Amino acid sequence: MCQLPTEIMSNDLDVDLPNDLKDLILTASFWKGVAAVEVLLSVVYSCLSYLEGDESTFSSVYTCFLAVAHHFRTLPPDVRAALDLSNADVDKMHTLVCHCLKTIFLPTHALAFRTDPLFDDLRDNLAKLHMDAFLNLGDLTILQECKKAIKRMVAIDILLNRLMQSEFGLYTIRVEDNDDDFADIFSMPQHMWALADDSVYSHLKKPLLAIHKMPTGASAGERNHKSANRVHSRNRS
Amino acid sequence: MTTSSSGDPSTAEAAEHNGNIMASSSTFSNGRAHFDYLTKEENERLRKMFARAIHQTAMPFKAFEHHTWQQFFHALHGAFHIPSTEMIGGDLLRLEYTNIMAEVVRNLKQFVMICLTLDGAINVQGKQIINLMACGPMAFFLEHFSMELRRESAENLYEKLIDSKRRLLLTIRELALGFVSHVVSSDAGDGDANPQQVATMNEHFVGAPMFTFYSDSPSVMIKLRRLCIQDTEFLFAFGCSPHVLHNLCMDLVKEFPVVKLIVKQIVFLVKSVCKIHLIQQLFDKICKEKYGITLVFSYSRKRVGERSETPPSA
Repeated sequence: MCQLPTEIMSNDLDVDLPNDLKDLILTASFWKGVAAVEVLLSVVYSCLSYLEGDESTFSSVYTCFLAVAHHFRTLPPDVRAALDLSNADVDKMHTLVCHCLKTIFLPTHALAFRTDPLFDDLRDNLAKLHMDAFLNLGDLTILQECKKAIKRMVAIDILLNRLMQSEFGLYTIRVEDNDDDFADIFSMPQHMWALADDSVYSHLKKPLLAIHKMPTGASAGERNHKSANRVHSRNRS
Repeated sequence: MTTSSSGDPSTAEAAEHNGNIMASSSTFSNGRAHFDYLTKEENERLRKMFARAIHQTAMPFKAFEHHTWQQFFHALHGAFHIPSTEMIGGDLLRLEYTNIMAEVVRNLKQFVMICLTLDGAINVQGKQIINLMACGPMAFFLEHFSMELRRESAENLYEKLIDSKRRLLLTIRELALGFVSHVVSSDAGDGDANPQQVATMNEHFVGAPMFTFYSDSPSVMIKLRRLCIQDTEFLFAFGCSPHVLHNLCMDLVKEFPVVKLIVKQIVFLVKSVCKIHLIQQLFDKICKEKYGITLVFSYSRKRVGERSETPPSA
């Protein structure tokens, strides 16, 4: 990418470029910077376009933030050099990710993430790569958040809370073999929970089925405005 | 569409040719008018189908008002008349809306969880509009309303939201024993004698689904989310995750000086290229020659539907 502008500019162009634009195009360090910013933001916009889509699962909200945090921690050295990022800056980026998540975070996000079998390996691998604490983007650990979410769902029913917590415990220590209800990780989590064993997860099944059916954002409303040709203004979009 | 006679022999020939077709079709259709017959019900059904096609494909109501279209339909069937623009935009539109909403309700009845989303927009005329969608996770449009910006407080929005939710529940679920809907209680007039209660909460309906709420993150919506989870009307209220990732991009640009500088330069570059038509043409040409593709070179601050502020690099 850095050589291309020079190559193009050395050809005879039949257009006169303004000097400041020409200087910018011919600055190699600028293009290095552009490449670095593209790498920096690539995972963020992949996650963004996935989350605003129709088929994104609720459990992927927490996963996307984890992916972004992981991406910032593992930026290639040349990108870090081009963007002049120190270790403290990378820590700051991690804090920013946590801060952004906190503006929308509810324990339900952690519960959906923990109960989607697709992300079991991802969780283990991230914990091995970084520290266990890396997985906790909220204030508490993921398991604590899950328990909080279950508590919120049962309101004041202590017995139901106990039953659901114990079923959740059974889920976390389940043995993964071919007979497992959650072996086919390519299914959507709500479908897996719909097929889960009633004798084991009788109380947890219904609420989790509902939770995994939740959308990831209000982008359906935005799309509706767009399809109805309501033009966005600078004030609100 | 219209053919005008001119001195050009080829045009004249074409006009004659067209004229022949029209003449033959009109003769044919004139004849058909006497023989073709549609019962009232058939005609009604065809008109509804016609209007449905127009509404589903978002065509202008008067798309078929041109006499050539009318001739075509007349030739096709002598007894069929295209419904008038007023009819398409009036009764038939209302009918189509009722049908679509019935379909929406049929779908929503199956949902075990309904997530309501609110989103506002302002069009170029400065008119504000807020739409209410029901997702589970498939999204259905429920209704839209406008609220003056001065009145757009969390409390007012909450009132609207709760009202819509209650109306939705009334259409998709049965009332629990001992509860009545608003209409019955106000019209009957024997509310005092009758101990029945007006259904307002989730528990007043049989097997109400789990209700949650989603919104973007201006401060009024954050307050609204807090209001939603204060009582049992909504189990959870979330902020929109794509909006937050967009905010993260903005934060990255704001917090890190080098990133900020590069993004500023990129924005300058994009704006400069877009400003001068010749340079934009050159950019398109180079893209075609080098990569064989056409790239959209744009810069925008829109929050949804945008990948990032980084333009495709040349």
